[in-house]
Amino acid sequence: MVSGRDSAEAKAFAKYIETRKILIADPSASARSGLFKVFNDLGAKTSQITLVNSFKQGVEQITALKPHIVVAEYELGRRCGLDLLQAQREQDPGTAKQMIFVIATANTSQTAVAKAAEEDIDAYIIKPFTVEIVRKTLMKAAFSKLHPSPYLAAIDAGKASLEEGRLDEAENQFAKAITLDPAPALAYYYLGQVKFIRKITEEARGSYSQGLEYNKIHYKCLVGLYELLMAQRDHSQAYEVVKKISQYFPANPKRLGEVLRLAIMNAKYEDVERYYGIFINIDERDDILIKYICAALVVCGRYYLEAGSRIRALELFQKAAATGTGRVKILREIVQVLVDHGLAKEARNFLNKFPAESHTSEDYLIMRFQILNLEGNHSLLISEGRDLLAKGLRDPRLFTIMLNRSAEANLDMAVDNIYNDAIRFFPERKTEFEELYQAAKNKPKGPKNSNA
Amino acid sequence: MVEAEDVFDPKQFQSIRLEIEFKDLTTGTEVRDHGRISLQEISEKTLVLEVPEKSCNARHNVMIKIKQPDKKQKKGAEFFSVTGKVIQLEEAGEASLRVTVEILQFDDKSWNDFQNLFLNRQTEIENFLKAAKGY
Repeated sequence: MVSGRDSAEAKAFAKYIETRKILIADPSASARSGLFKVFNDLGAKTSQITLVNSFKQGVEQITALKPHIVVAEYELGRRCGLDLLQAQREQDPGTAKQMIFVIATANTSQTAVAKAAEEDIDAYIIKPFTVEIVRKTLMKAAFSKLHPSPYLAAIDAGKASLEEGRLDEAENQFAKAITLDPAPALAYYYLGQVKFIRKITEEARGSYSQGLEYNKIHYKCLVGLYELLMAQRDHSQAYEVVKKISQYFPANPKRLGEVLRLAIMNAKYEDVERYYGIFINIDERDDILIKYICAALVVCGRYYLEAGSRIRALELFQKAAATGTGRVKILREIVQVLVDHGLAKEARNFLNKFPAESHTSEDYLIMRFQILNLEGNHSLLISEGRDLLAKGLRDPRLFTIMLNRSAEANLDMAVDNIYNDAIRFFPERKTEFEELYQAAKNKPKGPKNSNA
Repeated sequence: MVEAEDVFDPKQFQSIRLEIEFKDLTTGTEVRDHGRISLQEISEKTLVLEVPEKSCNARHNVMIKIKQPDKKQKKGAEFFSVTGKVIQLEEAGEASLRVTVEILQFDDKSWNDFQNLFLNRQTEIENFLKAAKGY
């Protein structure tokens, strides 16, 4: 039964929505049709509702129509419907505050929800929806825009002053807002911003922390505090904050990259494995995310190898290789670490994972050559090395190995030639090659290599 | 004060996925490709689904089974099954139909649990958004 108040609100909402331009972007015709009906029933004019089925059409229509309300599916073809929000905001930053952006999607994962929260969207409706939920959600979003609470009105006034550089006025408004809400985390965030602009960083830090006392997962306070700590080069504390951000808002690849970098900087190698646990549960894993996690696993593996935990290191390398399937760069890093630690058999296992089409690449050839060097068949090695040099492969590791092995095989002329080529191609490493050359020359002579 | 555990559930990292079986009991036609069936809307006594064209006709009786796919098991755990009547049918482009089914025979508890699954997640999401935004 609809109460009198509900009926009055419905009428007010119908009046509000009657003049609003609405864009519905959803690849499913059925979903578009359902949302169209809901808007129609709520009072929107048919001629004011535009339906599109792709991200491209969505951007085009946002540019052409400048809709007041956008409802987008999160999974909009190959793009994310959230990206339409930026297009909507760019249209008219002045009136952006009055615009409503809603995600309506079957994607109920925390990853998607957190990403939407980061973008500060107005509402998130899950499918299958009920007409009642759509109605209530839209009305709530619209009333919040039309009649903001005294708390939000004070924050909006402060933001306007902040944008115009009137810092005293802004500070007063945010201080006032703090008194108007029982959990004023957002007001503390903006107060922190004012302090930060005034370069009173300790007070800014205090404001962000105060906001987090009221609300442990307030996104803006967490990010504000993290950025401030990074600016202060307090990497240890910054890491503690970004750890929380990446736990609650895990889908931001840039941030996961930062958290992994800080984990390694702070020698929190065990945390890297935990982030890997988060990563494998994330529905959307883009290339950048994969790259970051693989690189961190390899660095972490190298640490364990150096600490003598060979099995644990190999497990991490396996995870990195599996995650970055076919990515030659990751495999190259793993093989190089194993070669550097003299683990020929393990290095060969990972070399075997290189895709067939990369077997003629310089990366593959130099890795294979280094493994051959560890395996100890030096006559075969010298012959291979000569082939690689003849093919034009120029790599300091190749020259180093060839210098040493040629010297061991008493190939004096070869040593001279390799040394001359090495310093010609890598003049910046002349001192290093010079030392190797002198050592080679002074080496006691061994038996002559029959294959030389 | 907002505590993380009040609004954040690490178990919700995976999206709720549904596998739906749809059979027109009047003609015996069954949709083989379950991936082409999606549930769009629910209400007290109706379900709105998108199904491939020619899957059913208006006023026909249908059977709908909704399961949660399980990677470990070949067949997912069943949420509920229902028989109902097609009360509205419209073309929905790309060889699909938008079908409104009035549900007739179903287990009350299963049906309520199913509705609550989405209602509860919707509430959780709203609480999380509110906490993350701070208003």
